[in-house]
Amino acid sequence: MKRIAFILLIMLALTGCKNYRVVDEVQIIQAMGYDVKNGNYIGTAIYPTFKQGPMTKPNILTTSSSTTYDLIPRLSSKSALPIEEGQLRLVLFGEEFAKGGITEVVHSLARNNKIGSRLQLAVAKGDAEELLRITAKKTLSDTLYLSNLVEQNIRAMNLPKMNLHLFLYNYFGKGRDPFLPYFEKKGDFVKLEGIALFKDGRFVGKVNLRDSFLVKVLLNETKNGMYQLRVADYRKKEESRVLLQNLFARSRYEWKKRGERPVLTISIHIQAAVKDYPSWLDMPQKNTLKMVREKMEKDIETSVKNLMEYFKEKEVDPLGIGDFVRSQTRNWNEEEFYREYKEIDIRPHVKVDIIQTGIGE
Amino acid sequence: MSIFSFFKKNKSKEKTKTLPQLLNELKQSSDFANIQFETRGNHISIYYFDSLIDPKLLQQNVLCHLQNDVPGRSSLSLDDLPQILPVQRIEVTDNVETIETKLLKGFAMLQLNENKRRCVLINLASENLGLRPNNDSENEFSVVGPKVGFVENIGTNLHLIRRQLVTPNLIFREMTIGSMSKTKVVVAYIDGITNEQTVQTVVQRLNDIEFDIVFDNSLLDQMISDNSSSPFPLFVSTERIDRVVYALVEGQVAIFADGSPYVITGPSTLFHFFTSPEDYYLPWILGSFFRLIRIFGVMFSTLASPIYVAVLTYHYEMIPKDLLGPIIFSRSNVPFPPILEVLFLEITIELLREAGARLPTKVAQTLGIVGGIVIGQASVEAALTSNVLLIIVALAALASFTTPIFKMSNTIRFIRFPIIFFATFWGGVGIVFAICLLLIHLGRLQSFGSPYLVPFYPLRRKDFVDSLVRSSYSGTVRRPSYLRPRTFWRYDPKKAKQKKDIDE
Repeated sequence: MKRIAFILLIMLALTGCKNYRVVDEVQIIQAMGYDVKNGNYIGTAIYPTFKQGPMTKPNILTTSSSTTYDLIPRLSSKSALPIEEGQLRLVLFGEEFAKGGITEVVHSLARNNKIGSRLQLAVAKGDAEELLRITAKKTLSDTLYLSNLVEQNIRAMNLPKMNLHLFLYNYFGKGRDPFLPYFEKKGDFVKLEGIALFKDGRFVGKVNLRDSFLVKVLLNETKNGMYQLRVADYRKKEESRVLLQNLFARSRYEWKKRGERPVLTISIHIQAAVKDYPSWLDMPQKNTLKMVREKMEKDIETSVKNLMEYFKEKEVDPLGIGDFVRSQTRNWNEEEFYREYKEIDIRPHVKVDIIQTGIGE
Repeated sequence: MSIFSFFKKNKSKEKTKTLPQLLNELKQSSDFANIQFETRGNHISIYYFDSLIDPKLLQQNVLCHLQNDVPGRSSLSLDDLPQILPVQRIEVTDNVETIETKLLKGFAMLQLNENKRRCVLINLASENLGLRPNNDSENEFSVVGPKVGFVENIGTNLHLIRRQLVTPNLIFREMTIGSMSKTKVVVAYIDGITNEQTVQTVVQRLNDIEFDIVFDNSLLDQMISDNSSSPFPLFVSTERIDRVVYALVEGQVAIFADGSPYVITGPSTLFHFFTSPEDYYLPWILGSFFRLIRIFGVMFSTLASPIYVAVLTYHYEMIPKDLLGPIIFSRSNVPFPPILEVLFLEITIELLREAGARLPTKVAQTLGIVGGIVIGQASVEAALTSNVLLIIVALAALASFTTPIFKMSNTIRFIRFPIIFFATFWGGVGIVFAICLLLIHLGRLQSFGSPYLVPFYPLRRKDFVDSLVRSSYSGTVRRPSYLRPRTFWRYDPKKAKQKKDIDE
């Protein structure tokens, strides 16, 4: 009995040690932007104020500092409630900032136990602050606009899967480089423009949205994405486009090192549906289908080649080819591999099956 | 202290009491009646408690026969009376102690010719006077199945059991408990199925009870319980016949007490308290489904408000992004921390329940509406609680009503509060800690010496057939092993499975 009383006493005494973070008594920031201007770092945070049920009003807090570490503490000096980053869904880096390296910020995010690994990271062309201001200004917009946009595009469109967890995996993993979605300001809107490529935590190049479909296919099995290609009719001398929807795609790599030049064969198999096509194309006809298929195969092959050339030129490896080769060779050495990275002969083989053309005769 | 010593003195006196002394003592009471008359030179005096006997029986079975038949006889002695009087229980005795207890149980004492030592005791007790004749088992209602429940009269209860269990192996062992109430308590079990050790434990514990008045079976329940400082009930107490019969057939022991419509059965496990007879009347898939829902309801009921407290106080990271808006919005006007908000609503609901239980049924209905709708809505509008919490607490209260055994649903009502406190002191860690403590406690509990958490701890794989789910009848042929029954098979499973085709 005495012991129980003692435990209860301790329990009561311990209540003074607790760290209250009652949900409505903190300022929950849901998006954070990092910029660098004249050597000063600028942090922008979007936090919601909840009005009527699910309706939210986004608000913006900005602060600047000479280091990235104390941006969040400095935001607190402008806020009535303690700033809490536990519900952070998106971190947006300005292009300048990204070029200078995002390692410090990502390290701090990775160590922060409040932050989930499904946090989205992104790069903005120009200032992150400007983009965040646009999303906050729009009527009826919510604070999760950008993170929802990224997630939606991953789920249904051309963006390969990414989040903090995958970023860290690519960042720390040997033989692979991370990449992030890339945003651009288009008038009063924010537009997803493609993928930003990173090398050692520094922004080095980008891939447009059309080619990011290829990145998606090359990375792993995928069930969505759109791809447009040109078709030309030699009789009519007129050029038009066909829109293909990916239904299921998978890629397989094969690594051979015979003689001097290593060869990487990439076989890609895409099962696609033809979404839209010009009226003069008689789709159900076997010849037309074959023509579109072959056209597409060729098109993708050259695109993949071009893409790989771009990667080689920028010396980045977002596809994790180094990691793949590591799994196939004994005594793999990272430095050695990337020294001859440019020499790799990449041979894409694309096979397209058109399995749907829509309802019609 | 003074009362206690009074009984002690009384007891020591009793041994030396003589019959006239006893009569003098009883005569102090105004309802102790005395009839004296002469028939053919035989002086007859009859003593009885007016309040205990049935006057009709006295007239028809005693007075009538004494006045009509005795005059035709040449001589009359006490030993002739059992032949003259058409009464079932009649005995000749000179033991003062027996006379006293029998008189107090509704017997009449008949003395002949001033023979001060010996007398005849005639049973004239009016057994059902003031007791309800039947019970519709409304407290443990089930839509399907018999609706007869036990009543306050132990004779009726034993009759109800014997009628369904037609076997000579059904044994009733009678004993008397309570120095003042002298309550008749019966231990029932099926010889050849129930483990003797269990029976022995039960009988021994009952015999060891020292108490004055047994108001209800639940008093016995507490006194024979293995751990009296646990909030969990260790024995099922029920007013349904089918439950008791099923328990007996499984190999459990049932305890009846006079004056109580509830019967204790044991040894029980935790899952017996979430079993409803309806599970067995519905097809096994439905029965299992509803049982799982009930068990889910219990978990929801105990954990919903603690989780609300923990998440809102410490773990706002865990809230899904779509839920963040509604929760913060509904809480933004509430001036209290989550713990006070939850306690406020929980206690309101407990008050409603208590008030509803104490008031007459018709008033209670109105109270439920007033409490549920008006207070709930008003407290949200007055910004004392948040909308989200109102729903959570209401659902938790609703879920706790699904427990079929009343004692267990009280336990569930109670167990929530310590967990809420753990949640507010230590958040999610606190909840896990509280659940661990709860599981340790449950694992250590015993019911008549058999484990409470079986078939989970200790693990008894074969007993799972009738715990979380109710398997089909062909799966429950075997009695649960934790009861250590003397025969395992309820019936011959091969015979039951035999296919009887027409042409073979």
